[in-house]
Amino acid sequence: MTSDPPETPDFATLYDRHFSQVYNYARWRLGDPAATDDVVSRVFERALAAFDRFDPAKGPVEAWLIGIARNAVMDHFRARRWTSWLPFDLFGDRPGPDPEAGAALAEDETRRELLSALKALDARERDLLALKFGAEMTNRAIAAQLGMTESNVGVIVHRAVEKLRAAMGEKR
Amino acid sequence: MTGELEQRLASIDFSGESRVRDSLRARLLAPGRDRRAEPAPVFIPLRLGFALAALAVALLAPVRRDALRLFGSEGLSRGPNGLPVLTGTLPVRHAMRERSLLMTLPAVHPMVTAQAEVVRTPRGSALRWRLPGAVVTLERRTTSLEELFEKRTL
Repeated sequence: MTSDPPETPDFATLYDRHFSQVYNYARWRLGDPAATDDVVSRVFERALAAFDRFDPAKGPVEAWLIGIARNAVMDHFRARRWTSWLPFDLFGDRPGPDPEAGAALAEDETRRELLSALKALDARERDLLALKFGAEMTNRAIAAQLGMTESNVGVIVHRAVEKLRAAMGEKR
Repeated sequence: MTGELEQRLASIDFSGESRVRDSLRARLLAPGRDRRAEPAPVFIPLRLGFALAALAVALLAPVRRDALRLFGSEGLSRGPNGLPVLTGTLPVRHAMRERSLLMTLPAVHPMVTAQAEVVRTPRGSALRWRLPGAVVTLERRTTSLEELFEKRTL
């Protein structure tokens, strides 16, 4: 007995449903809001270009979209190698030119602490936490995405959260 | 404690800070948009490689032609790999200088070989090349830190 693969939503529905997941994933990885907007734009551009070729039988649309987002983030870091001498703080929790967004960000203590504490994590831990809390994926989905075991994902996420907690605690 | 932090982390939503959410949606869903507008990322390095190769080929021909015009074919011989090699000290054809691409390129000089002579200096020895229009000396002598590093004093 086989079940039919889930129906693929149209692109507008996909965009509305998953924009936040993609945005939060990229923001966890990049920190900087302007870079995040840039990467998210590229993700949905690529998703739209490849949308006709998406095969729901191969996996859920969320995993497909997050896969594109991971590649886009890696492309961003590759392109930024040329400017890697710039200090990370420059890309950190700098408020944007929009005064409302900047004020909102400054008021939100947890966000500010989080963006700062993320610097204590290495790229792999940051990727896993971005998938877990930014893209709201389960450990099982993350394991499938990264080709790891579910328990391994759980262990790394747990350690990374502990590290994050320590970094956030030190700030206080 | 950790569970509480996980809940806090899971509740954070940055997406309200996006400045492109609506404009990107409108752009992507605009009627008549060509979905294949953006090339697949894997082709971007290939395109760049082809562009650089084409540029190198385009530049090579005039440079080689200029080398022949400047030095004449008598100064060029074929190396083992088939590429032209400059031999000996070659007089530049001054009449061709102004119109030469080589002369318009900064820091491009013909490579020539010249015999050096060993000369004695007060503090050691040196190799000296006498080239048309210049004498180049490579000195070998004992030196001190004071000569290498400037001491700044108030």
